[in-house]
Order: sequence, then structure tokens, then C-alpha cells
Amino acid sequence: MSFLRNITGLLGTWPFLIIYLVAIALMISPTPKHPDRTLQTGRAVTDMTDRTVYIEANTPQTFILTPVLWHYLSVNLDADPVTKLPPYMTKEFTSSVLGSIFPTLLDKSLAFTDFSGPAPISVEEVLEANPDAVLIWNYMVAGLELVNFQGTLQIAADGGDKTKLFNLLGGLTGKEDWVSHIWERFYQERDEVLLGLDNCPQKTRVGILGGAGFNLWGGPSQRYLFNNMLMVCGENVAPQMSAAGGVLNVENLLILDPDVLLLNPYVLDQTDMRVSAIYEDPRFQGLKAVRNRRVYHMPLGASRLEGPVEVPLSMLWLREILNPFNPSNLNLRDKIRETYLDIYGYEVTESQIDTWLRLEENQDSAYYDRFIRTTNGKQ
Amino acid sequence: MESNKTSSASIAPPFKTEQDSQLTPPQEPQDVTKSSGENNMNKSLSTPSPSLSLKAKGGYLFPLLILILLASVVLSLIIGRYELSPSEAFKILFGLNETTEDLSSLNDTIVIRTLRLPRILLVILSGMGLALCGAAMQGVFRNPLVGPEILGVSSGASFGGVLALSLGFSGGAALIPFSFVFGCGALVLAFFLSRLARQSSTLGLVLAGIVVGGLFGALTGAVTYFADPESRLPGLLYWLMGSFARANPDSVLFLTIVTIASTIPLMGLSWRLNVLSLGDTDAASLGIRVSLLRWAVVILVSLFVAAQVAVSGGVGWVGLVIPHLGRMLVGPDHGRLLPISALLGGIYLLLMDTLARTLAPFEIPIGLMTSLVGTPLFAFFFIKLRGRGWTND
Repeated sequence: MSFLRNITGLLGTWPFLIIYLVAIALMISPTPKHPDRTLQTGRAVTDMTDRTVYIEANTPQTFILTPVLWHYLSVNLDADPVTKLPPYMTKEFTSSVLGSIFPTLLDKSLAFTDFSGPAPISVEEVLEANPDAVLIWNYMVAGLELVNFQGTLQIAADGGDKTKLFNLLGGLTGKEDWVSHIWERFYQERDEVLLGLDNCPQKTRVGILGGAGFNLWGGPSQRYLFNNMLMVCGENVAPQMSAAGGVLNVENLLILDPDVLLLNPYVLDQTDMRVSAIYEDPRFQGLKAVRNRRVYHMPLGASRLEGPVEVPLSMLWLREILNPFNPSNLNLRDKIRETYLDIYGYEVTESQIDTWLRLEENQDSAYYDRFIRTTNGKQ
Repeated sequence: MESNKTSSASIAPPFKTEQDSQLTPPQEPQDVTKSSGENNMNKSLSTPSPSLSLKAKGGYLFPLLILILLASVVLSLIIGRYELSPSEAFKILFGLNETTEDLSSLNDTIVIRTLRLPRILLVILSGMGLALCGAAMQGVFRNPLVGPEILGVSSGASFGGVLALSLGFSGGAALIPFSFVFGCGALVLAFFLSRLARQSSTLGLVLAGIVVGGLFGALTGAVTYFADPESRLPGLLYWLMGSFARANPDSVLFLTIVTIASTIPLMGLSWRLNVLSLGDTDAASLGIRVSLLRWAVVILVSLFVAAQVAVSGGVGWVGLVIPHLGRMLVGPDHGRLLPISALLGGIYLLLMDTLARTLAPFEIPIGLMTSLVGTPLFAFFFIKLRGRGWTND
């Protein structure tokens, strides 16, 4: 009887069995995908995972889903092949000089919302736009791999090796020579910045605040910044802290007591921290950096101070801030002007340089008057 | 009259506590061999209630829901971010389209066969399984607040998935086994905890589940907290919120096999679940091995939940809310409740996922969608039903 009752119970399952069988039948049959592009008529581009992709179009329409857009622009110098733009990038562009250099960028249709960080792109959206190439974070790539999308170029989400990134961009746009120039320029400029800083006998202890709440930057994700800082005699006060998990309480900050406190350069920082607020906050009055007026909001830049174009500028800025009694012979305002003219062919105005330096916000901090323009427009 | 009397005795309120069942005076001999669904229908027809009409339509409900499910599949196949005409979609589905070398034509085929079809199947299997498991668990625990994740299995599976992602395994080949193994591990842990505490009652199981769920929840939080914010954290957060964007033939095949192994035996146990709803003492007196049955259901449900979380991340509220809707429509007889809940779950989740992949150019996490819609639905049932549908009264 028990067996019969069980069978009776199972009789109602027939529609489900049909669904299961259909699922199995469909799933073991081959699914269509894009064929491998073996025809080597196009340019070979190697992405940051060392995968080679063949790009056939001369001016490939490119779907850029990461903040490497500013690096792409420094290589291609033309915003036309960019098919869509994440909204958070438009905020970066309107705030920085890039918006003035590439005004047509702001007319691009929007691909993502600000939620784009963790949300993978809809593969259907990519197929609908049908670009020649997609620059995408390596952790978001599963959907495009599923359909074997041939133009997928993976970008290392942790920044990775910038040389690989720029080689990728040079290959994609066919401007390898220009990329070589950018790197040559980078090494030359960086060496000039480092002149006179031998061995750094004493390092300035630096804390960088950023993220939600008073997070102290540390960990691997900002390694590019801290590596550059080391070269100009600054050391991260909290290397053990993860940038995500390093939620800081004021007590910890007081214990660490950095010589210099920097506010991170991101435009979209949720904290909306301001230098004046730090100086006025009674909780921070015991900090050495506050007492010595050595709190600075990092420059806005055009690419968050990453990459070969802007790193020499940010290193020069850091050198001047961290070594006020051993300054460089270089003039930062001149260097900003020269860099943008050489790379983008764009003449920045004195007012744009002020914005780059966040002069208005930082002017009450120590040693910042060295960046103020003189009456003849020079520093 | 006789029929009513028998009916009310054989289908007792399913969610009375063990204490209640111990205090319940001896009842008349019960005819458990009689179809409880039939009893339920008799009772419903003889006792006017607001849910009467729905219960009376129970006979038509099953085919009706199958038709709605089919319609939902059709709808889901033809709408999406990639524009395709319905006729083109069907030609591709049934292999009637002309095969050309044209990239656009290939993209059309890929969208239907490689992207939408596996995803639809995965969503239906997940929705059906979650709702069915939720109904079974609510029956076993005799508690309307119980969902399939009560034993901490989904927390364990989530931890496994997060661990795999944080170690850099973003592909399904590592993610699914990690998640599934940790989900099953959570069940084993809950089992040993309840054995150590010498508690095989529903209370013991729930408490063990809370402990295990809390532990794996904390471990998941720790892994997330220390994850690299740029290379790992976004992927972790998105996966935790659930998504069917990773659907592929392998994940569908995996979930199908686990679904067959878990949900079909569950349906076969439906009449035993009805007897169990009388209370442990009464069920035992009717020859049911209560502890064994409870563990059998719990293991089957856990297997499915671990597999479901492994393929899509956490999807909340389906297993909790949909059985309520099913109970409102067909009453508490598990012989009808389980398949009806399964169909409702499949339809509900498919509609939610279609919205999740269509509303925006990026994927909206399915967990967000089911929670946003599920919570007001649950509130609606709570207000509207006021306990009706849980019993035959």
C-alpha cells in the first residue's frame, strides 16, 4: 500500500519530468557560439591575461566598461570610437580637464549606471551594440566567454601591469609608436622628479583617507600610489589595512598619527571629505598632521593620477608636499602645462591648473603656497 | 456529515506546536488511506470560506498553471535587451531559421540558444525547486515562517561560493563544487549539532540551523571584509545577491540532475507530510517514523538548496512566499500543494528574472528583485489571509 501511495504521489510529477527531460536534451546539444577568429588579417592585440585577440577593423568601435577610458584617450586621442560611457565616468570628466579636452565624450549614450561596479554587463547589450572590441574587468568576463565573443579584451581589476595595459591600448588603436613615446616620456619625467632624493634617509609617514567613512587606504589595491610614494620618501602609515575593510576609528588614527594626511583623489568619494572639515573637527586636533597643517586633498588629475601620463605629475606633487625642505627644481605648474600639451595637444589654462591642484581647498595647508600662480601666470 | 467529520480529523492544523499535539485529546481513528486532497476538497466545499472558490477550482489549476508557465517561457524568450521578433525567436528555437555566415544572424541564434534558453531553464528549475522545498519544509516544521534555507545550507553554500571567488575561481567549474560541498557540509554540521544536543525535534533542527547559518554567515562576512575591493569584492557582492547571468548548459544539467534526485522523492513523500502535519505523536502512532521522515525531507531539501545557490547565488523569498500562495489556492494537502507551489515558483522566478535582465543594460541581481516583490507579497498574504489556508477551517 505504501508503495502504491508513493507511486500515486509521483503521478503528479509528469509535467516536471517533461521539463527535466527537455532541459537535459537541450543542454547536451551543442550551443552556438561565435567562431574563433583565426584569420590573422587584423591586428593582434594581447590583453592583460596574455590572450591574443585579432581586431579586424581599422578604427575599432570600442565598448569600454572600466575606468581605463582615460588611458584609452591618452593613446587614441580621439573619443569617436568609444561607443558608450558609464555615468560615473561623465562625473569624472566634467570635474577634470578631460571633459574640456574631449567635449564630445559627454554626448555619448550611457552604458551603465553607477551601480556598474559589481553588476556584470548584459551580454545581450553587447551583442546588440556589436562593437569590435570590449574592454572589460577580468572578473566580469564570464558572460562574454559563454558566447565566445571575439573582441573581449580583459583588464586586470587590481590595476595590474600598466605596461601590458598600454601595449593593449596601442595594439587596439594601432598606435604602438605613440605608446612607446608615452613610456619614454614617463621614465624621463620620473627620473627628473627623483633628482636630489637620494636613498630617503628619513621617510614621511603618510595616511590616505578615502572610501565610505574614515577608511584608511592600505592594502594591495592602491599599491600604485604607495609604490610611487615610496620613491619620493613617503611611506604608507597603514600598509596592513585592506582598503575595503580598513574602516578606521579615530582612536586608531590617533595611534598611527601620520605626519601627512591625504584625502583620496576620487571624485565620487562617498564621504565628501574636505580639508577644512578635518582641521575643524575636534576629534583630530591631536593629530600631528592637523597641528602642522599638513592635510591635503590629492590633485584631481585627468586619470586619478594613475598611468604613465600623470604619475610623474603626481610624484612631483608628492615630492613637494612630503619633502618641503628638499624641493625639486621643477615647476609643477609648468610640468602640468607641458604634459597636457605634449600628450593631448591641449593648452590648459591657469584656472584649470588651479582646479587640478585643488588650490582653493588646499591653500590653507602648509607649504601649498608654492603652487600658487604668480602675477605673470607662473608659479 | 460523516465525510466532514472524517475530513477534519484526518487533516489537522499543520502548524500546531509539539506542545499542542501533546495536549490534544485523543482523536477519533483516522482514515489516512483516503486521499487527503479529496478530504480537503470535501471540507472546503462543505464549509464556505473566502478561499472556497479557489479551492474548488483546484482541478483546473494545475493545467492552467502549466499554460501560464509556457506563456511565461514564450514571453521570456522573445523579450530582452537584444531585439528579436517573436517569429524569428521561434524559428531559431525550433531550428527553422536559415543558417548564414552573417554575424547578425549568428548573434540572433546565440541570444536564443546560448543565452536565453539555458537561463530560462535554470530559472524555472530554481523557482520550482525553491517553492516546492519551501512548502515541504513548512509542512515538516509545521511553521509558516520556515523557508528552505532554515538549516543554514544556503549560508554554507554562499560561503563556499564566496570562498571560491575570493580565491580567484570565477568560473563555474570551481564555483559550483565549492558552493555545493559547503552547502552539504552545513547540513552535516547541523545534523551532528542536533545529535550532540540529543535533539531531533523540529526545535532542535531549527536551533542547529540557526547556529550553522550564523557561523557561515560570519565566515562569509569575514571573507567579504578582507576581499580586495577592486579585483574581488564587486564579484563577491554581486554573486551574493544572486544572478542567473552565469547560466550555461553545464549549470543547467547539474541543477536538473540534483532537482530530479531531490524534488521527485519529495513529491513521493507528500502523503507522509500530510500525516506528519498531525503532529509527531499522532504521526508516530500511525506508523510514520517521524525522525527518519524529517531527516529525509531535510536532506532532500538541502541537496537542492545547495545546488541552487551554487548555480545562481542566493535567491530569497521564493521558498517562503510562494508556498503561502499555493496554500491559499489549494489548501494544505501536500499532494496538491507541492506541485502547485512548484509551478507558481517557476512562473514567479521566471518573470522576476526576465525583468532583472531586461529593465537595465546591466544585470539587476535577482535576489534584489525577489526581495523587493516578495516582501510586499508576503505582507499582502499576511494581511489578507489572516491564517486562512493554513488549515481546512
